[in-house]
Amino acid sequence: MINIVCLKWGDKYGPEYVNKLFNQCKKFINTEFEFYCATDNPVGINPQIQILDFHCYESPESKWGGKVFTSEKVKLISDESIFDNDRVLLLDLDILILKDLTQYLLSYNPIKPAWILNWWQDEERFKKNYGTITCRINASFIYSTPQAAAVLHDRIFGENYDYFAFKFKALDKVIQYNALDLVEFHDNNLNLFYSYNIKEGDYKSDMKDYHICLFNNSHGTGKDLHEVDGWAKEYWESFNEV
Amino acid sequence: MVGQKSIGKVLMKFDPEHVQRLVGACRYSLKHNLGKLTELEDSIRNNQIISKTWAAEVLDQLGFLKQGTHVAVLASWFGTVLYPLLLEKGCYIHGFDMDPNVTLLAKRIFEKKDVVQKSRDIWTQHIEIEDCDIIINTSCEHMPPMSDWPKYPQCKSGAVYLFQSNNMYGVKDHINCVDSLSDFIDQQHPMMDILWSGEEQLVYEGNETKRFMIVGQI
Repeated sequence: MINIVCLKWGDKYGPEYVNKLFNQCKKFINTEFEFYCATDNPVGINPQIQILDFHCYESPESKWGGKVFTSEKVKLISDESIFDNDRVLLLDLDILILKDLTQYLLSYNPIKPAWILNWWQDEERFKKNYGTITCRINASFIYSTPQAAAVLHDRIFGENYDYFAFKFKALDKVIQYNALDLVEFHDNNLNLFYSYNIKEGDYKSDMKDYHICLFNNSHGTGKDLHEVDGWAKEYWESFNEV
Repeated sequence: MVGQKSIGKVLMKFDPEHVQRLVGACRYSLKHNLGKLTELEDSIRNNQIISKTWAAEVLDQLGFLKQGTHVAVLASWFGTVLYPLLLEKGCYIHGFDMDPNVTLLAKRIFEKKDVVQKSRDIWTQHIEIEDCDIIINTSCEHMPPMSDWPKYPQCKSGAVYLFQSNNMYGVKDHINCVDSLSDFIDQQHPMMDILWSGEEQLVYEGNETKRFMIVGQI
């Protein structure tokens, strides 16, 4: 059994994001799964989705103000009281699933939480800005066991949490610069992910070969799914019901 | 970009062997695609020369730079300017920077010198500072207040601390600038006995800026 989880808090995304994601999972993940949403506002969310209280996963304010942005994800996926020993798949709300994921999820047994390595990100830019503004990893699709995630949880929320919040500010950067040893990466040879925001011509393969399109706009750049035009919007809206 | 003329002026301050090693590091960075050419150039800008020279001169005037002194340089970058000044005084240097490519180049620049350079996050990872007589951090604006630096218990009793920060807000990764020397002193460990403190005016990219420095002991 796979536990699929997502987080929705604040007012950036409406319940339609959760419901459409659930419908995408029903179409593309053909094995037994439970779907959970940790939220501070369950209004409008499909009753088949199990609601978790977001406040149980909220990250603390750091000593100097601010939090490690989206570190709630690690709190959620490491919750053994809900997920036991089963695998947990965390999905961001702003993704499109394009192809079947069943085989991948059933055959992959991550030892550590599996993150996305952004193959589309400019390596030069990363090297030039090491430790500062750049990051080559992405937490939009984390696959783990709660036990493996707990190790990561202890690193992030341990004695250096205040430092992480001050210096790196966001989960991906904390992982990139202080916890790379505690994660593994999805196999980029499988053409699993690409970013909607990458330039045409930069694709490694034909776009239709990829399984998931990431929007990754939580940092305030780019367009969200309800704002895009063309195929992405049409595709997303086709998941109103399955 | 530093103009040809000012690079020349800066390079004239270094001994020819050091200049050769710097050029070698630039070549290496290019050849191995390390993306550090601009940073290497930045590291020998006039403001770097002034602030690192200032640090070495004050330590020397206070009588702390002696033959065989072990100096830890935190968030050291390449050490391009500071290390030669410390080596000249007979110091052993223990440099720490989180960027592995910076570390790689610093190792090349100071190969066969009394420098041990390691790639470390000085806040979260183990750093070998137990035997160091002086702890230098000229990059305090890149990290939380040094009052909270978790490594003090690891430092030698009587170690001397030299810290610098500045008011250059808006520069990439300057996450903890200060407005004044007193603000900078407020960011120090509560037990820090300030032996020396001062500020200097610098021009950075055409703007008047201030750099602050303290020397203290706990």
